[in-house]
Amino acid sequence: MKLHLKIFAFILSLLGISLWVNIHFSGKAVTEAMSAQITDNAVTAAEDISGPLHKALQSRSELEAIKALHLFEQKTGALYAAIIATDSTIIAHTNVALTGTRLQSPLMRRTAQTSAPQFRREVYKGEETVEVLLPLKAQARPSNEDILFEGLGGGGAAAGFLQAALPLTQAKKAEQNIIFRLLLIAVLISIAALALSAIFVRIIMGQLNQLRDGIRKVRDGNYDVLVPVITGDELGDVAVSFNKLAKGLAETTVSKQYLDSILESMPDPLIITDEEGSILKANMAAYAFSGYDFMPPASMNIKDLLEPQADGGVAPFSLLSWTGHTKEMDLLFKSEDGRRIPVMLSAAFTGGTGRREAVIVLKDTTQHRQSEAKLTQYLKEVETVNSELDAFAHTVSHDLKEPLRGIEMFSNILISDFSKKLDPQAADYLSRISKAAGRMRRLIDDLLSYARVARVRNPYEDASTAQLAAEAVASLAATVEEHKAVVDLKEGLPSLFCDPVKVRQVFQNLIANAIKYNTSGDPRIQVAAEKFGDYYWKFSVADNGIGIPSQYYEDIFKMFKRLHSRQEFGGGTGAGLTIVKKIVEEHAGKVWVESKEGEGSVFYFIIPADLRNKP
Amino acid sequence: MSSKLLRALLPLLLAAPAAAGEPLAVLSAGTGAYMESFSAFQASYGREVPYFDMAGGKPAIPAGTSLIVAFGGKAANYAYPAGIPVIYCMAPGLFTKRGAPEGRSVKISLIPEFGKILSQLKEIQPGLKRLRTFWRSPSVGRLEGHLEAAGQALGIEVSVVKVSDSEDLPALLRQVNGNADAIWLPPDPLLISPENLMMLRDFSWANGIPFYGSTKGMTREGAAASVGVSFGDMGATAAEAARRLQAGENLPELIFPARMELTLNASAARKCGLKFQPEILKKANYLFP
Repeated sequence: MKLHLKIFAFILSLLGISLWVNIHFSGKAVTEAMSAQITDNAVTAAEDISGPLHKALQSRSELEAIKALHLFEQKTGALYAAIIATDSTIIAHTNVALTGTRLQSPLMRRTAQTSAPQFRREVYKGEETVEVLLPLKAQARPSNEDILFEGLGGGGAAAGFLQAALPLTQAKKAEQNIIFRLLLIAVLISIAALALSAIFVRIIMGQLNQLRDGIRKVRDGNYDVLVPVITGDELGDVAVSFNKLAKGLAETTVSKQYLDSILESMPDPLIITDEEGSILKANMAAYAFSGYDFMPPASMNIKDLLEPQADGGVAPFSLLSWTGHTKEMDLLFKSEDGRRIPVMLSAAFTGGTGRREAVIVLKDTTQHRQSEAKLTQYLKEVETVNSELDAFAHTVSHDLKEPLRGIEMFSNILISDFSKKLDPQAADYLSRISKAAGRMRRLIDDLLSYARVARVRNPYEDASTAQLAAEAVASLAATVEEHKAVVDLKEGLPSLFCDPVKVRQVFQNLIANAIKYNTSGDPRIQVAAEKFGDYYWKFSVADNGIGIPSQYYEDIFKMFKRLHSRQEFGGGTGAGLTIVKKIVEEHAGKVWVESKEGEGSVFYFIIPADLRNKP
Repeated sequence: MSSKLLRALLPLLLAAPAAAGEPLAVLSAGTGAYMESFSAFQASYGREVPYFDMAGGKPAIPAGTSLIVAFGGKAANYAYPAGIPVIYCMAPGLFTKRGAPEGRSVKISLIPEFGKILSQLKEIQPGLKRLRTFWRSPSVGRLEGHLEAAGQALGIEVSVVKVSDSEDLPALLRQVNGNADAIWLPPDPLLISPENLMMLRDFSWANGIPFYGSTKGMTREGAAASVGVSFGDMGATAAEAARRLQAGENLPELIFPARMELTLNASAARKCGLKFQPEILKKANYLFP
């Protein structure tokens, strides 16, 4: 039942009860008053005919008494009347049949006790009457002595009684008239009360309806609500509090509309289920992806739509239920048209116990898988090409070295054995041939070294970079000695899971370059290492050499790239840093340089601490 | 013609002294029921009859008056000159106190014949088996046998009780309880008094014993019903008797009018537990609600 109906029912009940109480007790009061009035009239009539009554009482003549009673009847309209002796014997009755019998009336004892008129309502032959019993004094007028002692009402005890049944016909009309007027007033008051109540209820309900509408809006996720404050009472206070609450929610809570708009704008399918997997909600992308409309809510279960990609795999939703969340799980999704679409599922449960809901995001991996397959194919092809290229380079280099070695060897023999027979010009040419052959050989050696780096796969193992660096320095002992260089291997060089031969090569090439490209006369090289993030070690090889212009930071790692003439700084081929870069990248790392011309350079490279646990 | 119009016209027409050898009407009062009955007499008699209103004094009987028609008890009890036949109309009691000097007096009964009355009462109260009636005037007592015979013919046990003194009536009424189904009161001038009527009425109403009267007036005062004769019929009957007397016929001393007048009192009947049947209501000449 609506609240306003309850209020009206309550008010109507109250009005009904008050009306009934009013009419009932007013009616009783009016009835009592009318009965008393009728009794007073009877007393007056009896006083008017007191002479005949006393005469009849004294004479005990029935006929005289009846005549007196008839007089009384004519004056009062009594339905019957009787004169009663003090012993309750009926001396005379208008119904002569009762003369001589005893009066059986409850009024008798009271009248005898009080010597005052008594009355009561009585139904006589179907007609409502007032039965009155009036005491009759022994004498019509009190004696002077009676008046002296007892006043005008004195005169001794009752010598008899007058009983009569007085009709209520007229009184009843007056009584009904009074009650009707009282009823009319009560009804008018009730109507006014109802009207006021209706206004009151309307005001209350107006405020309540506003609150209800506001609550509905908030329930639907619309927090931008302002309920009009109609009343200044407690309901008004509630409305004010509600507005503050809505404002607070709008400022602190992401609205449902906002969330819905995000969900609907998501390009990936998003499905929300209950704990049992029944689908409660899905976004447009999910509809488009699956072909299902997922309506009505809970009509479908996600368990029926997902299956592992491999036979015997754990049911995906069961796994989610156990763990509470899952990420990038590869599954198959059964679409509405029967296709098995490969998807990547990420999901998590939200909400408390018993009210948990799973938020599931699917990613269609069909294209990803195709791309991945193509990439794998490309990689295989590249690896094949690289291998062939490495083999080719090795073969070519190795094959080139043989004639080159002959050229160089015979050139040197000619120079050493026939220099005196050659004219100077020829000797110079021969010398140049020998040098060119030597440079060619070095280039081929470096090329072979580079190719070897790519081609040779040494076993990876845990190795101390401090030891590898020390071994590199030892291998360069002659150069260090020659240049009087100081190589400082700092504490803390870590152990790595790596190819120790190649990593030693890295240290060797960087330290050799640091000694070579130094004109200070006091080369100082410092090798150090520190943690770089959670997964890498960052190594640095710092020197006080000539430095590198910043525009060459990248070029120096290219094959055979030289920044100086062949005659300067020992005439290297420019393959050392290329090999460093190749080795570092083979270890999933990166190398770069920071330098200031004339002050020195710092070569950095990072290598994962343990390649077995790639980030 | 209405009685009011007649009352207005008759004094003008009849105010002149009566001519010798003509009948003379004497009215107890020149108003009300007397005038109504006299008007009917006049109409039935067929020619103008002078009348005398005793409310104005003793009547002066013109010489040569051949017949006197007295309307009302006062007119009936007047001592008219000897030798003039008298027709008594509307005089309570069944018979005149004394006959006319020359024995030619006729009383027009206030009530129909007993058989008709009792038959009508039986129709009103089909269960009527025992009827109690009271009388005080000797003239009424004289017809005790006729009444009982009429009742016997209808299967009604009629007990006629003499009321020697009004003081005795209460005690006599107490004897009715359980011994009679109804009371019928004849038009007994010595018994009809306000006190007695009220006593009878109260007794009837209180004890559920219907009380029947013999005139419309008694019904008005509380009798459940009365079977009587209308004033008009009494006048008409008197006119017929007058014609016959004047024609030299010998008439009985009591003439019952042929037509009855049934008067009902619905309130009184209800109070004494009597329910009128629809046929009775249709027959009623008057009905007091």
